[in-house]
Amino acid sequence: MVTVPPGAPRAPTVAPAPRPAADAGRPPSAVRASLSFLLVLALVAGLAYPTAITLVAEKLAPATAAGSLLHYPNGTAYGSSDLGQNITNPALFWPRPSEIDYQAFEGNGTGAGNEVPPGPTDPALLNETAYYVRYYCNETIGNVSLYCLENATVPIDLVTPSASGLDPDITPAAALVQIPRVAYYGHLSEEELRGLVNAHIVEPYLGFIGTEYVNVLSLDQALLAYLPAGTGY
Amino acid sequence: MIPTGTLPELLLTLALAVAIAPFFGRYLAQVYSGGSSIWDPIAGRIESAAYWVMGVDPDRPMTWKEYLRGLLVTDAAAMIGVFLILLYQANLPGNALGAPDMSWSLAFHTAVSFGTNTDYQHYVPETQVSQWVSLYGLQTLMYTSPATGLCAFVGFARGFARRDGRLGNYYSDLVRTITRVLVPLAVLGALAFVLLGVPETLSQAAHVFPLTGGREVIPLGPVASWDSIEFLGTNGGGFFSANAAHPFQNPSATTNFIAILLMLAIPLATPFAFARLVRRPGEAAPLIATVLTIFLFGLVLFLFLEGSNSYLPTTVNQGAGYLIGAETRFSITESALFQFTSVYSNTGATSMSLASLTPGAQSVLLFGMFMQSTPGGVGTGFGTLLIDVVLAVFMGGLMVGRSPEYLGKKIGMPQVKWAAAAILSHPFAILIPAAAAMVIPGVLESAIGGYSPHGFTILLYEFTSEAANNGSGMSPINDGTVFFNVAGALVMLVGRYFPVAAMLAIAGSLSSQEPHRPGSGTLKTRSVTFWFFLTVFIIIVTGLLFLPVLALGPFSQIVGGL
Repeated sequence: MVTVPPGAPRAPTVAPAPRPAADAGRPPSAVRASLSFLLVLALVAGLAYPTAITLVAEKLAPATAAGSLLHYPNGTAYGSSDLGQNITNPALFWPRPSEIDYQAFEGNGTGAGNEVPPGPTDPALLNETAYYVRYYCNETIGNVSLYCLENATVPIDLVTPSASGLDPDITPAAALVQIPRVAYYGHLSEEELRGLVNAHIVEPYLGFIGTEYVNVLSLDQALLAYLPAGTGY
Repeated sequence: MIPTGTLPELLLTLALAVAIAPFFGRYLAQVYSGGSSIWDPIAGRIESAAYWVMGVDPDRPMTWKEYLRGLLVTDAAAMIGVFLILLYQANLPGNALGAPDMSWSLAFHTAVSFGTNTDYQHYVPETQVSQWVSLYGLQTLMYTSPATGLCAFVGFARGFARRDGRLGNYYSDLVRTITRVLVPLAVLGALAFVLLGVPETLSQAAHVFPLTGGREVIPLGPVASWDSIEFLGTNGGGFFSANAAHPFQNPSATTNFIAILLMLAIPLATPFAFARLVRRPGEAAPLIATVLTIFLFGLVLFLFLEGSNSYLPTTVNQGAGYLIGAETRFSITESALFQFTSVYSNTGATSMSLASLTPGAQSVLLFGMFMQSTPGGVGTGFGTLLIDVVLAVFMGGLMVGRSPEYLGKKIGMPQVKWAAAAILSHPFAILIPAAAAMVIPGVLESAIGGYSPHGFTILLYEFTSEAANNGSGMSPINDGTVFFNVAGALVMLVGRYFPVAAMLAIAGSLSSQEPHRPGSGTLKTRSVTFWFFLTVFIIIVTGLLFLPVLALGPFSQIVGGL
């Protein structure tokens, strides 16, 4: 009783009392009102809104607005720093396995959603993961295991697919675990490679928004400078 | 469990979302009570022009039937228009990547999906929808659907506030939602996304020659502006197939952060807007407390259950979290917070692969869509909570032996009938088509390759997501078939418009009541007791309706594997 706010019982109305004229007048056509509303809205939402934002974006952030494209010295684009590429050269760092082979367009096919990772207990997933684990852990050169260094484990991101199939990044641990292989095939010292990886770790924004990761493409770009000219991906 | 280093960000995100809500709620209430604001010089003129073009009188208050008719006609016209352009998109302009005409059933599903704020995508955006159809068609629906959702909420709220039998003018609410809520905020959000590195260009694709040889197409477009209205309007339809997991749509932890705030902006503000619209600001407390209690409880459960996958070989180091079907640039906490928020706000954007989640985590997401109201989608989520309130007040009244009332309005037979029908329509819309898919020969086989608990979870998720107008999907399911397109579209229509009609009908019946002065036996709704009662009520009612079907899917997965 005490907590009833003053004036509460009388919920006041905003609009004036109903006017008799309201129903007597010519009733507006709901169809006409809706159609004209939608036509105007389509121009606002489809044309004005994206065009205005694009004009601003081209001024404020031209490179990322165009898709963060990366170019060869001759100016041809070879990809985007946002999107991973299917790098398989053992002298370079590898990205995560991809269900769509890192193809942003062709990889999508036409059947919606059949390319995404399977369920948590799906035998296909477990077999695939086991396959990658073997790939990383059991491959040896001479009698040295190149990939599983500590406790014979391999970081999860290196052996499982991402959500998008385009993930350009790996965890720092997943980069470090590849160093023996890269060192062996690239004839580089592990120390040098560790320094390179550490220099490419992206830190969280303001120290706490985000997580540490390594962009494989930019890491490999830097690595190429250490390798013989003409080394491919 | 999640890495503890990620907790400060988690707490900051939630604290910010909650802190903004009362202020934004006050602004929303101002918009819908015709109050003046700094926008008036610009927005007022645009609105007058819009009313003139539409030929409507924005000051004429409407009955609930007129209000509902206006809403239905707007949405129907929008969906029919988009349906038609999807059928013939191959030869329309703005189709650089050569999207073919859609089949009638897929076009039907897609138009209804975006028109009902579901945005469930049975197609691949990159290859199956042209750029211009995306912008002029789908993006237009991404504005109308949250707008009509907010209108339904405002109409419902006015039922408690007014006593002249009217709910206000639908067209005025609709236009003001666009000019004063959605467009200004979408522009702000889009600018933030642009600054944080989301692509925004009118070019439709980049042709590149990758390092690994060959040539490739990278689909592009005005992604930042799409993102903004996708999250703000709790739409959730992806510009790309991978949606918020795609590095273009969600390139960094900061964009992830902004997206979460946008998804929660309107749903968390509506309880405050409601309390102001009914001129009792204190009534917001038990409502928002109920929403946050269930939301936070679910979130903790989700983060806990999404810890690790014990089925993986022990040689796999899961120290960074369970990253299968998650992106490396986000910590597992960020991916999970986004995914949980997206499903609980009925946005339905995905930043992870839902099928790769552990069965326990999948159950948490399903339960959120069963409830639909914690906080739920723009407008309709809070509307559903009010329906829960109507039922809870009625039950509470019966328990203490008094005539039930809420905000001075008596809750009687007509209101409870509508409310109960709206709550019951949800299991009907989910379970009947799911049962049909199980029974009709061949459907299950072609969709998920025959029965399994995991397969059943996927099937249940499909119809639950559509009935809740959520739009997130669990793959792999071959759902681009005539059965799933048509059944899905019907489920979305029932899931959207039956509750909206119930909300407006209840509002209509309440709006002609003179408010009562609270007596000594009136159930006090502005109290800790009511918060607790409402929370338990929602969980128990949802549990009673849906636990059996959860037992068939995710629970048997937990017990039996697979």
